[in-house]
Amino acid sequence: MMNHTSVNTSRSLVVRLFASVLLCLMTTLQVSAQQFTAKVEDVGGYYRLTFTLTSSDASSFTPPSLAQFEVLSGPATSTYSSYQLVNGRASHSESTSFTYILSPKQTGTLTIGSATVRSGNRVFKSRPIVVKAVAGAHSGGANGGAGHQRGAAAAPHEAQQVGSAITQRDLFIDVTPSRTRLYEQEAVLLTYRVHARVGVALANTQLSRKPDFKGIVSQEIPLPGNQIQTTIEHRNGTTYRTGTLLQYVLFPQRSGKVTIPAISFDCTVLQQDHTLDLADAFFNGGGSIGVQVKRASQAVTLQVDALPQPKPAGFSGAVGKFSLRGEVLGGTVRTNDVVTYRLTLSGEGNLKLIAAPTVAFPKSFDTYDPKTTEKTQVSPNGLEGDMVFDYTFVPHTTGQYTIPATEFVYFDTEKGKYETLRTQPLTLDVQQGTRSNTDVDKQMALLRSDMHPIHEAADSPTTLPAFLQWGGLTYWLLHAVLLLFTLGLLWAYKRYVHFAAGEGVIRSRAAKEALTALSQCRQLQGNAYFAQVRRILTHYLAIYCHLQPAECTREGVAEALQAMGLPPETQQAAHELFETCDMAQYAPQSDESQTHVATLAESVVRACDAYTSR
Amino acid sequence: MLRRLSVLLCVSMLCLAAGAAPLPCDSMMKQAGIDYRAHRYQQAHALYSQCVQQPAVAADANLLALLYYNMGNCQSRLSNYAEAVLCYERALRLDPSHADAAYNLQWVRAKLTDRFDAPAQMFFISWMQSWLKSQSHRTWGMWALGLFAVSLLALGVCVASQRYSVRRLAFIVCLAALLLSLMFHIFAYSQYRRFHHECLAVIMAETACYDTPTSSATPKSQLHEGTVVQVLHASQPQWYQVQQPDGKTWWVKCPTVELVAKETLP
Repeated sequence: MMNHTSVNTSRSLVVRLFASVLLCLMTTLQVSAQQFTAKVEDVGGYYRLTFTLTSSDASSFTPPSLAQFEVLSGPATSTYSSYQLVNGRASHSESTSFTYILSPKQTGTLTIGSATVRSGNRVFKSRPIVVKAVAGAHSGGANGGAGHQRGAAAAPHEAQQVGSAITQRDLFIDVTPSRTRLYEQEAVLLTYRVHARVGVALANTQLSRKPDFKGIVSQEIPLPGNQIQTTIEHRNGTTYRTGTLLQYVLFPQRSGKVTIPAISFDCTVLQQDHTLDLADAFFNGGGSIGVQVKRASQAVTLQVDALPQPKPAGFSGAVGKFSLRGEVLGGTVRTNDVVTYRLTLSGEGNLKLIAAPTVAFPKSFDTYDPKTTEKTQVSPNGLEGDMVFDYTFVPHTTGQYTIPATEFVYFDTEKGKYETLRTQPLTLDVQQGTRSNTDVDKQMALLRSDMHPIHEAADSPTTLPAFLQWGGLTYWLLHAVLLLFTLGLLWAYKRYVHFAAGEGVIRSRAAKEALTALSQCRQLQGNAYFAQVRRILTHYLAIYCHLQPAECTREGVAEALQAMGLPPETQQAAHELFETCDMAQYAPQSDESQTHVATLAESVVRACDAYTSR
Repeated sequence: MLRRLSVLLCVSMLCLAAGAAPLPCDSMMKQAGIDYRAHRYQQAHALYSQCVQQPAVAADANLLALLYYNMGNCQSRLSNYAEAVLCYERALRLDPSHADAAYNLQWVRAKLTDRFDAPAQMFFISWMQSWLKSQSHRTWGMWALGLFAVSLLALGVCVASQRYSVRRLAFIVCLAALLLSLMFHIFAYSQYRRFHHECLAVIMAETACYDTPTSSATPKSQLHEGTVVQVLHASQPQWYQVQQPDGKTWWVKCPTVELVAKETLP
């Protein structure tokens, strides 16, 4: 009996245990599956309030009452979902968040209530948050979004509706001078700032026209980057976004009341057109329309005091705070050296407007006009940096010389009176140099001239290919090749000349002999003459054509002449000659025939000779 | 027929040589030229530096010299005189006949602080030296080859000619050309050695000069930026032994010294 009950109890225990474990698991699962949290972050003076739901299915989000805050932007909704497969294990996470940017309206402990959101068929509620707002916590915050030409874009979902008016209170530009009372030639900084009420989406600000500061020397201070950095400020209970548009440094050139005229700007404000549906809005730049508004800064009056009279003699016109230093550049100074004496004026004030002070060099020096280099940058107190004056001079004789102290009178704005700066006098020991007057002229010409300009790619001569460059293996091989080629040519030439000379000499000698013999045998008569002529010709042609005695028949000679390539008229003449001579053996020939044969024989010999010595 | 073929071959080869393929980084150089004329010297310098690093350009000595010259001009306009001297020295090392680089180097030198007297030399020797240094070893090599060919031609004429006067003249010409060719070979060798072994460097910032390479020693002198020195020894870590233009030698610390060509470091 006892066992049965105990078994029953134990079983129910197990079931209960199992059920509770399962319930716990389920709840934890549910808890881990769905969570709605709220958190607040301090971002540079204002607060980012984020509500996060760990599910991508969120609807009817109701924010808490944010009456103690000014809602600068929000709610911005974003969903996040990810699926990961790591080492065979799959994990899936997703979330939806609602973000507000808030600015507290008062200091102290402020409470943000709970927000509700619906997901699936459950309603989630976040926990309330307590925030401690500290006074003066509004430091600069870069709230600028995408902009061009000095623009600061606001979040589009906080823009005004299209058609709503943009009053002076919504958007205005003001100018702040760094001081209103100053001396003439003293620097004053003018800062132009644009103020846009939170809720007015200022997209772009541009100068309508560049300002014309008459009678005043002005310089614009370039602002870093293209965007305006905006800060949040409170003014008369309204929160504004403020940014610096322009800064000018001015040096008034005359005394009295100087009025800086108003400068007008063209501003573009984005206004939302919620009447457009989503598709139209997408294609029309998010449904915002740019409205052009003109705004002008107010005119500023400055009281410019004249510098106290009487002005001291030698007043340079410089106003500010300065220091002066003089030095001779280079090492030892020699005669006919072109030496530079450098005066450096450092400080801040109207540096650019200062002319080079006069330096009284010794009379025997050749002096030239001073060259001014400025290394200044704009600062709120005017221009600060260095003005470098280079005085060139050429000493011609040795000895000790002194460059006297240079005086510089300026007006110190801080002290309100004129100050005099003096450099130290410098002694120069001029040594004997080796340069001549022409060297000096050349150097002076060099100093006065400008450098030569850049070259284009086409100007460069083509570099030698690598195989022709000195020191390379192919370079020396080229030498060897040339040498061998020349030697080869010479050797071949020698061989040819030797071959030809031998031949030529023999042939020309034979021709000469034949001609002499022909002229000698004219005395002979009848057959003897013809036979002699034939003999002479055969002998000559045998030598000429390198024939053996046996080959010296008429046919053999004719063949040889043809092989030599003699012109056909010569061959014909030779043939006729032999024919006549042979006929003379059997029949007596006339006198004309004898002379004809004589001329023929001579012509054949000369033709052959001419043919070879071509 | 053969003659026509050979003429065609010659003409086609000339065409190939003349109508060269477009240079590498042609467009970058054009853009850099535009930037330079619009006074955007930094951008021009950056573009030229990119061109210099391309291997196709680095193999062409004259183009590289042109690029370094242009870079030197950019640096001069930006008043970075030490960098300008470095660029001009690099250009002159690659192409010693670049007259504009030599002029601009003189122009920049006139603005520097240090001035040295050249060591005393016979005027003839210094004239010879300046003539020798005015051309690259490639140019001297071409002259040597050309004169060698002339001497061979004269030899040929000497051997082949029949007339005694012609032979005598040809012999003299052959001998003279051979001697000149030898002289140009010597020039080329000298410039080749200088190109590969003369290690020049530019002082980039005011440097203290020491007698011995120990930091604890007191500096005896100083060299200002833009001075060109010759590096004699680099065996000590962090120290160079350099010789200034008038012959004095000092030990200086490495960081403020920039080498004209790193491969020439002894």
